[in-house]
Amino acid sequence: MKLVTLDYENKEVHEPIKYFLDPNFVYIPLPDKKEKLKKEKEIKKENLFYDGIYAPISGELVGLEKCITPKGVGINCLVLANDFQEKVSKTIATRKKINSLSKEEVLDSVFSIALKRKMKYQNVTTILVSGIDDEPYFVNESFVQRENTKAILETLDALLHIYPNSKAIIAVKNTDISTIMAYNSILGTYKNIFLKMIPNLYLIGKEEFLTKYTHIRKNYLYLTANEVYNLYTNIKKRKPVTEKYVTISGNAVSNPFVIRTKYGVKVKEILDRFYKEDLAKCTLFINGVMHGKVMDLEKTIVTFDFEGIAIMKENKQKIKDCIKCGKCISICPINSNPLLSYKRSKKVRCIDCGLCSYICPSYIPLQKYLSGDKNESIT
Amino acid sequence: MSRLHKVIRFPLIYKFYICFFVFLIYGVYKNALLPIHHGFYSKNQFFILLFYPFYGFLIGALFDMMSKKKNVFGNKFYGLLFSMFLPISTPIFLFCLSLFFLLFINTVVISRMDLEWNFIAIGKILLCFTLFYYFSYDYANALENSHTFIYSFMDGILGHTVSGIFTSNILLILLSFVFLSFDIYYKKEISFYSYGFYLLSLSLYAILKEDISFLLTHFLLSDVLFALIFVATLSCFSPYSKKRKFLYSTLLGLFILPCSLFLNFQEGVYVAILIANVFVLFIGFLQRIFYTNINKKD
Repeated sequence: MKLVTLDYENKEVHEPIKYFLDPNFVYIPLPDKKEKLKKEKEIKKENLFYDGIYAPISGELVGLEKCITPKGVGINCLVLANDFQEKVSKTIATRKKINSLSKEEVLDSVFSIALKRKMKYQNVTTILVSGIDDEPYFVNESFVQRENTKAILETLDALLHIYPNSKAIIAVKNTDISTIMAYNSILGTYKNIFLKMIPNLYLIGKEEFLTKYTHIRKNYLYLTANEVYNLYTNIKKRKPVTEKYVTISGNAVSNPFVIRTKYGVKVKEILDRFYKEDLAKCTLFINGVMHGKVMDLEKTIVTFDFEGIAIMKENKQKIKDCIKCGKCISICPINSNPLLSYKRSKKVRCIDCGLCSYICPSYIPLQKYLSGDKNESIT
Repeated sequence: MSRLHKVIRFPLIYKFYICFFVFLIYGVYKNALLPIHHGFYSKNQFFILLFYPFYGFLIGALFDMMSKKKNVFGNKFYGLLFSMFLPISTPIFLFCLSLFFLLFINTVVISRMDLEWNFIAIGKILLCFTLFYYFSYDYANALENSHTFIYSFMDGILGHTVSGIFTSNILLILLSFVFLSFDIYYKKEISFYSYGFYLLSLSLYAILKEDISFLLTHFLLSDVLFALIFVATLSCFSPYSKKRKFLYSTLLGLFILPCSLFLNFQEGVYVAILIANVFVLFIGFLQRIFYTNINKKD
């Protein structure tokens, strides 16, 4: 396994978490199957959050608009104007204990995540939780864990009751001291939940590499810390997940911060409200500088796969000719040859990690050639 | 673009320039100051000697300005490199002409068509053949030709050896290899493997010939080391994949001795570079045809 530590000026997030739970409008993506939107004013008492679509806020439908998801896909969205009447139904009680729930009840929620990842969720002997933020500057997973340490451990405990003779491993970067401290204070009370320190390597949080590093090959259930917290919301609070942790950081940001916001909010609206610094001579990467994209902020909305915005200073380095140093090939974690794509326009396997662009001494944006997006727009 | 890039605090090209600068100082001392001191050359030799790298850098910079393609290793680097390993007897006009021609070919053909021919090695071989047949061909300066001193092995290590104008100091070359090896973009494997195979072939030859002194006199040659460290590893003209790097180094290492026995050690290594270069390109060509045919069948 060949992974590298990225060399960049890291910025610690010192600001307390900010909340943006009262947007004026939210944009709810319409699925292809044309499922009906459940537009109750109160959040519904149903135990699924994947198959159904929930309005993150209470409000009136005011129209239809074309928006862009963080992956750059155009999608029709229903525009919901907030009437600020949102409230949680009193008939739905928060469960006191979740480790005594029936297997079916918890598995329903696990299934929804397993379905997303196409993974097996039966005969599990190890629950592997990735609390690692791979993308430089982003600290979402870290913040989720720090804010909800108890909730995550409680959910894992419930899962361990469902999978007998199993253990849970929480993987945390050894540089993430705050998260380690948060776990260390209460982890001793949970049997079979272990904390594993992982070196600060880029991409180590991904399932493919984390399982290799921890030597867990089969019968495992891989979840991110955020997913575990979503399970908690779903099982214990009995409500769908409608909120998301988002990081605003980058080398142009003097005080990086994390926001908890509603799904469907426009990225532009978040920036307008919370980011007061000058955006001139900056490039904004949706979902991070390594595998994110430069997109139209006016149209991009927060969806479940939105992680944050990396605001980067304009780089004055000029793109030069390839010197065939071969570093892009040797650094590629999946042993692809980005030069084939750059020189001969061949399609090669790519996980969009951006390491080839990162290492190139000629500053060639190889990632763009690999993704076929040669004309990436810059805002 | 303002993506996250690796912070290259000190680029490889500048490391090369530092090495060249040190070689230059030693070359001026050995081939100008020392003979001048002993009365073998006039004081003009100092300026004549400095003219080679100065012209190489300047004409390279001119070609770089004209070239549309911007490369980390520009023509000024190649110009400077070409002036390093020449025989001291190279006439200035021939050097100027050959370098102009080489850089012109590089700018118009090699760089534009993205070819991987090691034109530095080609240039060196052509120039030395021209010198050999039409001009005086000599690596030794007037002081060395006078046989005033008898050099020991240690003298050779410390630079007193018959070699290219600025490439005589083995110790400096080895130190520069160590210095360059810390850079991740430097293809140190090529120098390392090829020298290993050269040593292997040399040992086998010495054993077969039952002449260990041959091994001892030829295992550390400044021209061979310089070519392996600076010319064979030129990023644009050497392979980049692990397997091809190994193939290239193996061929290069094994061909040095036969070529050197046929010619001499100063040029033999450049012929070996050329052979390895052409062979690897040919393998790549065959591979491309093979995969294209497979894709067509699919």
